[in-house]
Amino acid sequence: MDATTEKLVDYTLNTRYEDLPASTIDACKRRLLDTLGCVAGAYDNPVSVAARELAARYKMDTPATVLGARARVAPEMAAFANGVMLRVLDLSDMYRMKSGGHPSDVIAAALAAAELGARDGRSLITAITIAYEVYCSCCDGIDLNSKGWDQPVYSVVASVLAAGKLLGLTRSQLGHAVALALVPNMAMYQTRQGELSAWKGCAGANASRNALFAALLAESGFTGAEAPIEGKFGLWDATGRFEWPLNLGEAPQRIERTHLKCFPVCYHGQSAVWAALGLRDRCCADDIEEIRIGTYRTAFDMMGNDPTRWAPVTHETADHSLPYVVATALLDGAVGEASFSDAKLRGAGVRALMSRTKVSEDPALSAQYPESSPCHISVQLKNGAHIRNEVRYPKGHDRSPMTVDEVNDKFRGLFASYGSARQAQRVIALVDGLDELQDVGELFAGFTRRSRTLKTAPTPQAQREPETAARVSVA
Amino acid sequence: MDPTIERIAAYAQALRFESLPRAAVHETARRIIDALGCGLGGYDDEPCRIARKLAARVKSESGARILGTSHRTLPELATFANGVMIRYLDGNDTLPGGGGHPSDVIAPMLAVADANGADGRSLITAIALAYEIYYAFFRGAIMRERGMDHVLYTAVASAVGAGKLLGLDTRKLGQAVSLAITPNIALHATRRGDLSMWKGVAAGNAARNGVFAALLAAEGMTGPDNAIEGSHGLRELVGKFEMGALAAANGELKVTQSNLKFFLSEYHSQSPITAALELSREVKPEDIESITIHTYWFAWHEIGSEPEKWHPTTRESADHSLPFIISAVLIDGAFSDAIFSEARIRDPKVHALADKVSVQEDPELTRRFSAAIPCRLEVRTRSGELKTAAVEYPRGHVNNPMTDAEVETKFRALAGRVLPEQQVTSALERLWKIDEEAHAGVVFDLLCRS
Repeated sequence: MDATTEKLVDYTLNTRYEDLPASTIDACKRRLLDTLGCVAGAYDNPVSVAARELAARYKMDTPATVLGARARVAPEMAAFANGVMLRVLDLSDMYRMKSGGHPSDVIAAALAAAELGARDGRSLITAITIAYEVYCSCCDGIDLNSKGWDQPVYSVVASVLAAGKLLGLTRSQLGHAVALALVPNMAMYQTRQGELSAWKGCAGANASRNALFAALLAESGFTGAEAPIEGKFGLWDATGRFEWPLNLGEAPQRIERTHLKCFPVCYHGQSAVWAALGLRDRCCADDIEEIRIGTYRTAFDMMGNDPTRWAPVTHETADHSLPYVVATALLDGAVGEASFSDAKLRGAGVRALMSRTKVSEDPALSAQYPESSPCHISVQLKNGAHIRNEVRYPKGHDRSPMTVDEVNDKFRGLFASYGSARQAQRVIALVDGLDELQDVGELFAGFTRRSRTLKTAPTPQAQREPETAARVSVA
Repeated sequence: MDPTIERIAAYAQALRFESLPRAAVHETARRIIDALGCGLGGYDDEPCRIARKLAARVKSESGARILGTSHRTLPELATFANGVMIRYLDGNDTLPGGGGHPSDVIAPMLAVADANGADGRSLITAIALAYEIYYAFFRGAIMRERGMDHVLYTAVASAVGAGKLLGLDTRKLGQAVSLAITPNIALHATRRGDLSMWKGVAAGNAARNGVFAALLAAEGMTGPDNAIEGSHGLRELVGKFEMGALAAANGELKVTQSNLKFFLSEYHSQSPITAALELSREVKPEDIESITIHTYWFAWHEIGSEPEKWHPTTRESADHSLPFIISAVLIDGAFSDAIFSEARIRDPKVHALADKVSVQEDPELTRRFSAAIPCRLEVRTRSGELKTAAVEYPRGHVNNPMTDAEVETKFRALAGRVLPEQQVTSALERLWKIDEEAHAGVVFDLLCRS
């Protein structure tokens, strides 16, 4: 084990539930509930259905299940299917410092390992907060993305540590598990460039799958490369040397600083949607001469610096397009899952409005990022009038946090297409009382989709109310 | 989609068994036999036992079998377990110069063929195809020169071959390629320092992920559009990537071009072992004053430069150590992979002789590599005599091929470790004509332990 691997392993093994501040435990519960809401809302999404089918091909005896289902499947496939579902709507939480991503991806492997190990709620909370700490501290430490490496590189490390802790690996096994997870899973940033594919939402789930597999490899007795981070041709050789700013003896707290999302669009578009919604009362789409969006560099690069963002042909490109999400917000007064149907993508109104939209980087806003996530929109009306709105901290940002009620509301909104209001309340109660739960299996059982709800067939995506997410905090 | 990926997908879609030259079919069968022998030979080694146990967690009537057993599991887990077994002894074929072991694609093809009831011809076609893609990627970029591992070739080739067996259309074949490349870049750390079990397991893992990529594509999953040529794609990562030519179906397929190993040892030790066997007939170990192995840079770098190579403590380090292997051969007067056993790795006589070994790069030999696999071994005796032996192409190299009889002998020795002789003999008869089988999965029936 090299020194950084030792630090990650010792941090993971030494951190106990008793060390966690109350605010951290609470933040963990909010994010778990938020994540379960994302799963419920995405349950009938075709990518989710395909992932569940892939997981359920073969049965087995070990207790690992796909959320919502009863069948026992290979635990790595449970992690994959759960990982796909929690992420596919792009409504899960977000963190970005030097690198960025969606830390709740780590919940997929943690859930599978907790179920496999029949662990209690406190163990799950501890493992998730540790994994968030590992994930987010890596993002604090180095910009891996501009070097061509994608989120799975740190998510696979965070996930394997959580899974390994929950499976009760020894210190030496956990060290090997890190090597077995990191060395073969260097994912390329190509996933987030150009026209986006379904893989954008599944790359994290694939890392969860391989993290769980690595934990099982180590548990079975496999050994991995001896110096995966600092050694010759290890991580540092691929990325440049960096300190993983994780401090032994400090309780994990970064989970409190991840940003929750209100809209199912790339995080860098959240402020833009809020700004556009704020302008809607003051103008009518037909009256718009020109829309100018100014934002920070990262938002510009990811959502407004490529011709595909003005003519998206996939859901994934559209939800990473500033022109598209702003035009949709102005036209529909809401941005939800239904805003990305094929029919919506081809809509003449949205295309016309996008053609009158310009996006630019505003250096003053770049300087404020990532402390805030700012965006301003100026609309030039045909009558010569000029209106403007600016948002720095979108609702859900750690500087503008969602309240417990708002998180619960988002959850209920997403859960509506999946199960009854009563079951939603039951899941909320299970997560609230997670620290008293003896077996995480109870959480899975509470989330299982009731066959009764299937009688009323799930509303197809395209027909669903578009306000699922927007109504959370517009109110 | 990348033009390169489109090329791969179109090639894979078009390849037909009927157009394969007879020689290519035969060479494919030779490699299947060779790989299966390696798999059975390593059956009782610890990593192989662990890999089987991990794969056997899952049971499925419609899955793929674990070699040597009748247990059916997920095709990707059968791929993993069988891939680990085939690779672990380090006896399977190879492409020197950073190309790794193309027969790592055989386990995934067997698994997908078994689970899907494919016939022998489809198996042969998929394996020949996977070798072709593997070789083209190796020619496209030598991953190790960028600090990355060659197992990416295995992941991509496995995805394409598996996609072919699953009957994917060109669009989905392209997605399978993209889904195999993007998440499966591996660090070369696996092959540095004191080696772990992972050295022999990484390829089985990559094949597992390659099969998964094909299964994802079959389900309709889409991958990044420009995994090779796009921003932050493979070409940017490795600096340059121009995929090598893909042979015409009736042309010289690359499956005929990999080198088989005569000795169950790392490829760059094959020529030195041959030379050491020759000198062992002339010199007694106790008379040796010093040993100098003159070799090319790559062999020096891989198995003759790091201090760990002189006193290995794990099997994985020992079988990647020129000083250790050559010392053991000079002492034994023969080569057997028994020198990598726990007990033998600690043999003080071997360690003492290894201290007299020096490994030197000879620029002239470096120039001749990788077209040739040259070695010059010099042993100086206590009485001051200098004995020399030189080898250009070890047995099994495409320029010094093993006969079919030698392939059989190697298979008999390895399979005979776990199967009775009669079963080995009858299995061989069927394996030479695998293309005539209605179910390629019959391989697992033939080699099942009773």
